[in-house]
Amino acid sequence: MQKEVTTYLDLVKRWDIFLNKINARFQEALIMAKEAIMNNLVESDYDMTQTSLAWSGIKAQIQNLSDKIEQTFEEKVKPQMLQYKKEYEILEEYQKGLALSETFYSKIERFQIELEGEIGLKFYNHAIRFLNENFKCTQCGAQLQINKNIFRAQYVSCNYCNTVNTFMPNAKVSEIKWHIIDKIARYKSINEYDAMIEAQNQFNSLRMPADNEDKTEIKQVLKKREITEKAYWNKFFTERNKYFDEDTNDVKRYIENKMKYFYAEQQRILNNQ
Amino acid sequence: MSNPFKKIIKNSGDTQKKWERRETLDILTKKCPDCGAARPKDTNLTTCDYCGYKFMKINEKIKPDNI
Repeated sequence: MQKEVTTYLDLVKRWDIFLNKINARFQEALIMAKEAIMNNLVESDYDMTQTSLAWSGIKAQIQNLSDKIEQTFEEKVKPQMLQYKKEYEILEEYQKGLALSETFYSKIERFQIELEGEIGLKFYNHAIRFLNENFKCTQCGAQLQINKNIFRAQYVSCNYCNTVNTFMPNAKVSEIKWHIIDKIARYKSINEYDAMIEAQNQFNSLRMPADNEDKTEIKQVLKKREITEKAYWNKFFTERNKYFDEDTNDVKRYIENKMKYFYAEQQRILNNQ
Repeated sequence: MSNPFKKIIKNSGDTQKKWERRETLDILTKKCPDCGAARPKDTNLTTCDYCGYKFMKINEKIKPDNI
């Protein structure tokens, strides 16, 4: 009997060591991923399509570590543990693996915001230099003032001869608008994102009260969610607006649109629908 | 230690579809095909301000600089 307990504890110990190793490999993989992606951005001459493709591939490989945990438990750990314990008695060990595997997804999501933000800033600093060149009127050669906040083709009138010129940006300048600014804004709103996720996790850990039960706690957590989500979207669109020339009313409208989903959810919950 | 993701990076470069990209930034001017004049600011987009040549077969006035 004493031998059996020791052997089972040995299995638990080995399982813990395995989980620690997987966790260490996960952390290491994120560091390597960032290094590879940032190097590639420069080597590919700031090719955002290739960078996004590469990150998708790397991300899938890192996410596979989650499957590896479950696979190892099912194929190797569980059959050995079942020699000493009943299935319900080893549930705790399974959940240990599951908890670690679930943290990978949220960590990857947050890592992606940081990675894309850093890529975005590097790309922006590279591409914005094109707009700092001297652009001259095709008719009189006078210098033209290009609007640097819209990143697309635009009419530019010459202040000297009144000719209307058309400015055509290159692909990199156009990409600032389509692929870069939102990523930078998300990155700069990361503290608000953390607060929003914390409130969401707190909400997810609560049990929904029945009709006849007290709803004070759920209302408090919903209020916290409302405040943090609004703060996040407010920060996101404010940061975005530093790069775009957007109307303040548009920004307000964007925030209202984003909050619509929350208010609909809140109504459903409080009305028990 | 060499980076384990180098192969993925290489594959992403080798396999991606190559799209035609505009590499240069250009300043262009639309000129009247009849008299060769460039369009001045705040003038009708549909008609040449100098010789009256019609660029579009419509009667409305379009002044994009005023929008």
